[in-house]
This record gives sequence, C-alpha cells and structure tokens, in this order.
Amino acid sequence: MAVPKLKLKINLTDLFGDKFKGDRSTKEAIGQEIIDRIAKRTAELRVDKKGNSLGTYSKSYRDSLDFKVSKGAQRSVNLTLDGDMLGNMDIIEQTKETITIGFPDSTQNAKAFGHISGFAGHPVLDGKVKKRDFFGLPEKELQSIASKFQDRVDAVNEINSASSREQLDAATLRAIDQVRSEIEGEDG
Amino acid sequence: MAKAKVQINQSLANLKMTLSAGISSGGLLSEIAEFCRSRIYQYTKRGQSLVQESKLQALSTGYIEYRKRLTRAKKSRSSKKTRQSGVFPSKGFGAFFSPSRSNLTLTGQLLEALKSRVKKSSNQIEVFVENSSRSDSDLTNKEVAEKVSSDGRPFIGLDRVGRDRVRRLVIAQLRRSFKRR
Repeated sequence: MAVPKLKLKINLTDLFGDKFKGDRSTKEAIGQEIIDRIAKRTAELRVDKKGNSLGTYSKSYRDSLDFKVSKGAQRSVNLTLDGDMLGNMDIIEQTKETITIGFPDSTQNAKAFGHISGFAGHPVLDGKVKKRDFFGLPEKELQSIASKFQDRVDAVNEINSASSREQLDAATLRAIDQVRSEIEGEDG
Repeated sequence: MAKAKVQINQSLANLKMTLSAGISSGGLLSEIAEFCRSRIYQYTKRGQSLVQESKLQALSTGYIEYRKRLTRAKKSRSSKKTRQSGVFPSKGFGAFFSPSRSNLTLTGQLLEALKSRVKKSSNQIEVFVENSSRSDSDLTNKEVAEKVSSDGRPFIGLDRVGRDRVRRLVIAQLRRSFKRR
C-alpha cells in the first residue's frame, strides 16, 4: 500500500487577514515556530494535537535492545526513539499565502503516517496499534503564533520597514537555501 | 552572513564537522556536537554502524565462545580467582554487553571514551575517541578505535539521516534568528 504524503497546510491570510503580504523570511519563521511547537508538545508533553496522552509503551518494546539503549526506563510514549521523525519535519511548500509542513524523507513520512493512522494498511499492525495523531496544532495555538508574529507582519507591510528587513533577511535566506541544497544533494 | 555550509569529514576514529562562517551560535555548535556523539554511541550499542548504515559485522564463533566463557566465569564462585588470573576483565562488562552481540562492547571502555568538542574559533565540532589508557591492554582507546574500524567495524561517522538532521538543525536556527530582529 502506498503511504500518502502527509501535509499540514497553514493558510496565513486566515491567521493574519488579507494584510499578509507573503514575505518569505516571515513565512520561514512562522513555519519553524509551528514545527517547534508540534515537536515540543509531542516529545516533552507527550500528548497528541488534541491534548490526549499518547499512551504507554508495550512491555515487548520496552524489553527490546533499541529501547533500552535509547530510552532506558521511560514508560510514556513520546514518539521519539532517535528523534529522526520529529527532526525531519520541515516546510515542504510555500505559496504567497500558505505554508505546508511535512516530512521530506519518505521513511520518516511513513513512520509519521503509521503513528497517525494506527498503522492502517500494515500487514501485521493494522487495527492493533493506538492512533497517535500528533501532526497539527489546535486553533488556540495557531492564534497564539499569530499574536507572536503580528508585529513582524505589520512591519513587513510598511514599505520602509519591509525593504530594510528584506536586506537583513536576504543573506539568511541564502544561507537556508544553501544548507537545504546540501540536503537535497544527498537525497538526489 | 553571506553563505552557510555544513561540511562533514569522517576518518577512522574521528568525525569533524565545519559550519562555515555565519553559523556561529555556540549553543548550536554544542547541540550538534552532543547530537553526533550521542547518535554514534547509541547506534553502536544497538549493534549498528552509522558509517556502513548496516549492522556491525558479526562476531566470529570462536570469539563468541570466549565471551561466553567470560560470562560463565563471572557467574561462578571462583570469579575472584578468575579475575586475578587475567581471564576475566577486571572492570566487568560494559553496558549492553552480550556474548554474541556485535556492538563494540566488552568492558565498555571504548564507547565510554567517545567524546565531543566544539572549536568555536573555527566553527568546528569534533567527535573522537579519547587517547586514554585501558585497564586491559597496552593500547589506548583511540588505538583500539582505529583498529576495530580498520578491521571491518567502522563506527565513527554519521549516516545520511544523521547528516540530514544536522543540516535541519542549522536551518531551524537560521529561521529562529529572523524573529529576533
């Protein structure tokens, strides 16, 4: 069964209104804030996007070598063994008004899909594993992010502030592009 | 800040990473250094080589038998005598030792000597095995690391996913820097 590509699409005009002008560096910063909050809530608070506990690990998994080496005596699930899945979350698409978050690596995407769907379609685990939908933020959190970035969005909309900020941000955006091209070079 | 680059160099017993000028946060360098050290340690203990991206080469049958004898000697009542005879490792077994498990662990000294450091002046991080002495050999831990690596069990390095993680850590830090202006 082909694993669907997971996407979390955020409409920035819904968050900031029609005033949002699509400044790339602001979108990158907002996207990273969303990623950070999902990762932190999952790994540290150990709850899904609705605030429900992710549950506890099975004894058989706790007895495995991989678990003992990386997690020791931890009991409650946080979807983190090596951190590779949560560490792979990234902005995968940007338009003028939206950013989309996903998992660029197909293996990490498959892991995430497994957790979210309860391993639907898996030949052994389908129907046997709890669904753990961690991939998203409640509306309250999105509004909190909007408040946090409102000043920046307002500043970008003013012509003088926008041009000076663009000059400051252009170099950092080039740096992001360069490191990203290294990742894509390896994948390719 | 004109460019950013994450350059990774691996040798037998050393992993060096240079983050080009512009990514100069000491906190980020420390985070990356510890991430690399911890990843190498955990994967090796789990029996995986990050360099080869596969399981570590299996132990020979003869060596497994030797390790089983050591395990039995430890359990026997004459273990003190056995230790004194030099058959049994005086330090005991390392964490996650098992006679037939190939995870570069007998006494645990090698992997406990795995360290990381940050050279902030040159924007570098390094993961290496300390050149420290061992209780059971005239070789140092660094020499043992080089030997096991050249003998078919290279373990100091980063897999593709690990390299990807480091680069995403850098991108995340660059994005967070936008907020502060």
